[in-house]
Amino acid sequence: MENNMNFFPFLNKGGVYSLPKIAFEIYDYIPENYPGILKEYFSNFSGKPGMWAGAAREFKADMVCLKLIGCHPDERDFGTAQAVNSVKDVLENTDLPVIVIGTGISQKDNEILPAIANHFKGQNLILGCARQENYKEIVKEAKHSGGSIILEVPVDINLAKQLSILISEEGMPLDKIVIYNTSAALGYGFEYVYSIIERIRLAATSGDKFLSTPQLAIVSTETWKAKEATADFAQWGENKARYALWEAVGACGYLAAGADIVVMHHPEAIKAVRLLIDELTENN
Amino acid sequence: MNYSVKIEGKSFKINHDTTLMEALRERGFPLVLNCGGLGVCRKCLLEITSGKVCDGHSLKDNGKILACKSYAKSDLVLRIPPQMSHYDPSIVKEFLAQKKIKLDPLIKVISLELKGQESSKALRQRIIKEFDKKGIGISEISSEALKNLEGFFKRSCFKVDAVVYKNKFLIDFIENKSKRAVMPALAVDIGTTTVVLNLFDLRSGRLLADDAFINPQVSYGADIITRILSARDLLVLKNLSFILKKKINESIKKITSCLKISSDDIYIAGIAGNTTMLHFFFHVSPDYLRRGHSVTTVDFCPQSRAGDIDILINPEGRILSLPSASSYLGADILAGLLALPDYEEPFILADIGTNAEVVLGWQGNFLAASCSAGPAFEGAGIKFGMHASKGAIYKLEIKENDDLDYSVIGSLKPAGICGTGLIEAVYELFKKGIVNKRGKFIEGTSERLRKNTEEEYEYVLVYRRDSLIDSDISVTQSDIDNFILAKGALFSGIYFLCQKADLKFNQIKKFYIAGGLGNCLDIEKSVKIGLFPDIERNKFFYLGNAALKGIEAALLSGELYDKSEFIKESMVVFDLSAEDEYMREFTASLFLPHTDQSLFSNKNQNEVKAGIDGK
Repeated sequence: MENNMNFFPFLNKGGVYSLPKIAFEIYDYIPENYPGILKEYFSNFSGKPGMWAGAAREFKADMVCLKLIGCHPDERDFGTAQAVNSVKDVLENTDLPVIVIGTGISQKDNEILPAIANHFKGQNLILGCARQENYKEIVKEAKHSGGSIILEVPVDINLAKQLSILISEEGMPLDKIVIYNTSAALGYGFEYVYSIIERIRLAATSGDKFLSTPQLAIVSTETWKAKEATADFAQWGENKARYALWEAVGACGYLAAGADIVVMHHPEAIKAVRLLIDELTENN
Repeated sequence: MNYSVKIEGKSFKINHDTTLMEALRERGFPLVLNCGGLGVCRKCLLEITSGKVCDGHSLKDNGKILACKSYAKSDLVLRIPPQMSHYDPSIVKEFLAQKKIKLDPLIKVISLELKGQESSKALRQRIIKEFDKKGIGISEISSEALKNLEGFFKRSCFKVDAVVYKNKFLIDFIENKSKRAVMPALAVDIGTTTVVLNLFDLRSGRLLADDAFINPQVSYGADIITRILSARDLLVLKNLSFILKKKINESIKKITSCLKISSDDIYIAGIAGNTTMLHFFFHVSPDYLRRGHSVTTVDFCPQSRAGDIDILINPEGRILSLPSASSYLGADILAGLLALPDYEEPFILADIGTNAEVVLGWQGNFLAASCSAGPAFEGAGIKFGMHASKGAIYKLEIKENDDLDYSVIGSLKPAGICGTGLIEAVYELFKKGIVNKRGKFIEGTSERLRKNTEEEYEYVLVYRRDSLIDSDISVTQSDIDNFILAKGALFSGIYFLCQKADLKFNQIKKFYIAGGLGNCLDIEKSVKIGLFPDIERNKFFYLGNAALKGIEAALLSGELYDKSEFIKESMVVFDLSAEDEYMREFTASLFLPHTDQSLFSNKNQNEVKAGIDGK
């Protein structure tokens, strides 16, 4: 299998094979603790992921990432049918590639993710996340869907490779796997994740086929969790700009490390990163 | 209140407020207590044949009880359940890689003859002069020898044999008349679990007798740390030393009387053992070993006079050991290095046991590390794990139709599985695709796979009707997880040392395996599951009990003994727990055979994949 990751980010090697992508993160339901800064932009879209997805074009994101927060048992505990509807809504309102990420609770994900894979065969969805303890259930359906799967590991290059091997042995083609090392925001372990993403990319350049997969970095929710980004504390500067910067810097860092898809949700941050990518790759 | 207790053909009295464990321990029953008597490991099970026992909660008059928690409430008849039966270590056989040694023993018998003429010189001076003429510089004569000096010479017409230690110390005189056929010496390997003694002839190196027994210290804890913790109580420390020496002395008595020689004829004993064992033997507190980095109280054990430390060989005899390199790399691994036949570099010496020490010999240095594999290789921490003794499954093969073939040590029916058997089991399960590369059971791949009462998967090796014990014998998911941790520790330790020396596996010329596990080991299967590196199979050698061979070699050759200090100085010890990169290597090796599949040949990969696809 030909190694398709045999170059470093932003370097042109006889024609760049694939550009890094920005995925615009939206939800099926907006929870209480959604940052006020973002509520200003998007509060109208709760429960209307389709409309929200439509906004992605405006920010020039390359992909849409639908996170099924509403299905989380602690939020609205939406069932499979509703999850499927949310995805349908998004697909009908955008022609960008779609990533669908579950709740993180294996029991729930094992219900909704295989159902989504089944329902949307041929739509080339990227489904996440499969972990060590539940990858089998998800791969079982996902491998027939024609789409891809995101595997999630707790920031460990060996665990990533091991899970990649196990998933491909379950029948998932290697070029349909995305590696996600649980991201951390600036100040919360960012460097650690950075080094793992970089190491994986280095391994890929030396020919390790199980690590030659695109890598995902989720900057949006991590920045949301960082109090330095959200706190309205004058001494830290104007918080709207601060939030956007926190997310933008995180995203740029991960892109430099070798992440291929960065998931973001602040419009200004997305604009900044878009500019960076375009400028760094335009003259290549 | 006293009660009488009958167990395994022996009877004794027990006090109502002593636990069964304490009483049995005092009487030398080798109950293995992994947890040191906390009631957790369940390895001290006894069965009530008759009588009443209080097990800490209720009164029981039948069934199994924990010896560590039980008190007698009436006269008792007890029995030890089959899987707990006495460990007969003599079953552990040896494969020798012979080493040629230039004989120059540490104890020599030199004949002296003082010419009869009167002399104004003192007898002592004349003796020293005689030795001088032979080119031996005596610097000290023992007080015992001096005491008997005059009498000896007078009786034997000035012709005697002198026992000389290290060509310097005259420690005794023996009658010339009673020309001894042999010059016996003792070599002892004090293992954490087993103690082995060899009585051999210093003149030829020939083995005269041997004995082995379970280290009585196991009743204070199966592992080193538990024992070190118990020994914080100085009375316990004293006892640990005492019971060990007592058993060694009993053993010496046994073998000398069998051979019809006197223990007074033994003038030297060499002790090999890991650092902690040596501390206990010489009654030195090992407490510092468990704290911080590699701090030993003593790194070189003194050469003691037997009479001073209560070892029952000739009181003037010397007891010596070899240096320890660190808190976990002791005299045993050093002795192992001495035991190596003339080696080519680079070589690897791996002692497979709980401590799993590994040494890489390269460019005159010995890079060493203790991999701390844990007791899985010795059968502990495994549900049906046991030592390589009667009733242990040591070989197995999974055939078609969920059929299983196995071989058992010393018996037709099995009672459990030993370290070697576990290696075989993991290989077979992996080959047949019943476990995946992470060692996890794959549902639906076998009729023998089921969920047990602890809600985890297990694979039944032997059904109750075919087993020696009252239940099925199975391998659980936890057993496999523990095993993979152990094999990962060993392999990554080896890998780490090779990386430090900038060597690739195919550059290794010889791979020596030491430790009891080595003797029935299937090299091919061990490599395929990633326990050993994938190097040519003819490069593997069994050394058997290398520590014992090493200490014997040191006693047989002064040159080798002196070399041991040099070897210690040439050892570069790595503390794996403090090395940044080690953790990554360790995680990588927790895959069958390894996360980095290029380390294991393609041929191997295809074979394994076929098993998985086929299911």
